Amino acid sequence: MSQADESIAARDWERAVALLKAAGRKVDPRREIDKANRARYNLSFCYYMNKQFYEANVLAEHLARRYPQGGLSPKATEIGMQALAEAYNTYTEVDRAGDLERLIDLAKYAATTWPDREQGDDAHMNLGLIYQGRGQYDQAIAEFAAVRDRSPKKIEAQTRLGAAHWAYSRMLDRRGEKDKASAESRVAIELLDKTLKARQAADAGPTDAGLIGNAADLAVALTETGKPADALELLDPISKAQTSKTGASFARLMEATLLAQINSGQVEPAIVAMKALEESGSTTSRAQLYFKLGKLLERELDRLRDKKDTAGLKKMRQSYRSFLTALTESKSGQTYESLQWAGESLLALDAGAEAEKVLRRVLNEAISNPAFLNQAGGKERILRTKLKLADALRSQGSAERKKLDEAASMVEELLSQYPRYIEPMIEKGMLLESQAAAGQAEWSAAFQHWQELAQRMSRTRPRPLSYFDAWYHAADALHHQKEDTKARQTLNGIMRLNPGVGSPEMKSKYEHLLGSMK
Amino acid sequence: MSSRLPGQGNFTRLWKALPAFLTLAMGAGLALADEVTLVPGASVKQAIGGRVRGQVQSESPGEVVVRLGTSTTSVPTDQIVSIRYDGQPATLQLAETRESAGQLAEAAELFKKAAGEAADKPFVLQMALYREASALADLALVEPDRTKDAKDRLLRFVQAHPTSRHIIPAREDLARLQLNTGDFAGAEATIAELAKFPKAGDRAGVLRAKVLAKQSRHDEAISELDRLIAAFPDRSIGQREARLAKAESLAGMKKYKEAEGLVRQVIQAAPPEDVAAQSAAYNTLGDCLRADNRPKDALLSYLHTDLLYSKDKQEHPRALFHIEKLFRLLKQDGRADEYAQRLRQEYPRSQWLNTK
Repeated sequence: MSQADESIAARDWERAVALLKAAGRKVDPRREIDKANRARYNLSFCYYMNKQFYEANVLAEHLARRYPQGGLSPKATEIGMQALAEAYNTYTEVDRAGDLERLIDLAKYAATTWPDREQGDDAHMNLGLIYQGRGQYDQAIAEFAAVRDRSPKKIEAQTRLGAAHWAYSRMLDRRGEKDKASAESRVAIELLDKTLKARQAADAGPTDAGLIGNAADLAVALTETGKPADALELLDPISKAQTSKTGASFARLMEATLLAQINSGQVEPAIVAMKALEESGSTTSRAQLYFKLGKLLERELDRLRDKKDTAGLKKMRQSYRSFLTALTESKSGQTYESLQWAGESLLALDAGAEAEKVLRRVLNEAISNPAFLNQAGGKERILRTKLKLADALRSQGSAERKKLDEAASMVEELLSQYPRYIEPMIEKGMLLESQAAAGQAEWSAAFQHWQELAQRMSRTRPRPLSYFDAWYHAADALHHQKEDTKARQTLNGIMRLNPGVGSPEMKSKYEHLLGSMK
Repeated sequence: MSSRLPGQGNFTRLWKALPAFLTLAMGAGLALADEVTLVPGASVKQAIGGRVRGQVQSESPGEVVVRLGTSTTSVPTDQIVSIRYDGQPATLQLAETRESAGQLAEAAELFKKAAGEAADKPFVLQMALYREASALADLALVEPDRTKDAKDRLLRFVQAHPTSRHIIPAREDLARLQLNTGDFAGAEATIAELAKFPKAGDRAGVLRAKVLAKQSRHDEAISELDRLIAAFPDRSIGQREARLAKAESLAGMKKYKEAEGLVRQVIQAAPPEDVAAQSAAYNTLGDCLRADNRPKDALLSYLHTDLLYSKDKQEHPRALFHIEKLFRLLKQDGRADEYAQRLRQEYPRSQWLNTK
């Protein structure tokens, strides 16, 4: 046993396991149960440290369940629970749910067996986290609330309780149960505010991870209940006090700040916060924040466009472009959605070359990932990326003809793979227009394609917007062929039968084209 | 109500009587040398501290008669854990040590040697011969190439010593061995002989049910086992074996949930350090969970046998085999290889090495 202790001290877990197993064989548990169980406890710990989680769990649970009065049993339960949590995170490919069910079972046992000990509190916390992760908020709330008042983890439990009430309120809100949602969010904000004050009273500084998480949770709740200014007021002094600009806590702080800034319409500070977030090195998924920031920036572009503020528009487009480029260059936290969104946004800003770069990266990463290809909707996502890539290549066609050729071969490939999909056909029409504009094809070919496509969609009820757009492009091709009369007849004919032509924007396009042919 | 503890009133009287008592006990110790160790909770006349010390006068399948001075006491064989005979060869003790350490081949050799050394002591001779055959039978369950040798020894024993106190366990061992090798006719004949002993009727019933289960006649097996479970005393070894056998039959009928519930009852009811009970139960539980497509729960079940009950040399290789397969299923080939290696090293002649 002393050799095993030395190995443990040296963190030589494999040797410690071998020595403890040998020691265990020499003990007869029927005569020396305390000695045998001490060896088992140490062995369980070494197995855990050696990442043999199931072995660690078996020994720990044996002590916990068969010898609940044993001095080491509550502590063994901690190893058992942690081992199952690690197994859940490690052995993800097969029967993952089995680990979680077993963890729930052990945590329930610990909470019942040691209600007055820290291990019972830990069990409640674990159960709360699991239930919250599963969206079983009422059960999560009950577990966090069950942590004893004198527990050293009481404040943490109350903070998590607040977060659980908040998550529950969002679920109710999505269900349309507005009154209940509002009541839950009030409870959440009260709890989070109280725990934040308790932390501050206990001298937790602004760099304390618990305090930052608590403040961030409260700020998110304030922002989403229409008080982003209060959230920024809360976060600002904490942000200023941060000495380290990396790590999960700082990222959490920046996320909450960014959300509040977006909701306050603070464009420039939001871009700064997003850059800080990207530089923090945190790898959590922020796709939703990207979308929100993108929407904010798009709204800001529209506002400037409506104001006819050319200088402001140019400046904002440049800021947006820089932000998107910086975002895509970040190696961390990227998802298919975030990169695809960035690529498409760059395309909308006429940044074809940058969009091409990003979309190629999206495509390469997606194709080389079998899990992505096999998931539901994987193939459709790749189709979308390829179409956008063809668009990006086409947009550079006037300057580089080979880009246009590459776009053409990509479109042909998609048409052969997806002969019934409408999107590749639309892109084919756009390509024919670009080729005609570059002198590589005739406008008549473009007209022919759009007309066929429109006729193909004419049987669909209600008629999709793409139907009206196809006729618009057909008329535009006629206009380029200098067949304005035929073009006008086409547009007027469609408008006579369908006065709204699908949307106000489409009607405006029709009217603009008709106006240009007067 | 009196606040005195039971027997407290006689304390002074006992104290005064103590020197005489000690003299008597020591005198008896010198004169009466055989020692019969009883099962916990046994109630046998003249037993002190779970033991009867005297001179074994006769042995039969049902009882052992011990002379204590001028009187005799009868000890039922199912109440006996072991007997240490006066003047038994030291080799016997050595053999027992080897056996409890799981070194069955060495133990069998030593029991054989002890039998040679005790040729003039019939009870010691019978015990040594039976223990040799029994160790070989246990070994044969792990190393099938030893089956013929073990069967021969057991057959020789039951033919040569039909009235020995070891005849019931010897026939049980023989039936188990025959069952394991698929010799159902032989097993049925042995069980029929076993059933003739009044004290072995129920145990014969469990074995008969196991024969039925091996032949996939699970309904009949379960009906027999239900009768036995009701007949056996609660928490007895017989009841535990019957419950386990029933669980195996339920699993054979794909009634996994019911089987699992029954095995978990057995696990809970048996003491946590009862190697024989727990190892078989955890392996059976693993089989049920594996068949129920719960690979991780099954893995944990077999790991109990490996980590806590590896002294059971019959069940341990079975657990190692399944742990290897389950780790492979979980795409943990490194861990699977580790267990395959252990099975090869620790049980080089195990039948599980040839199982697919």
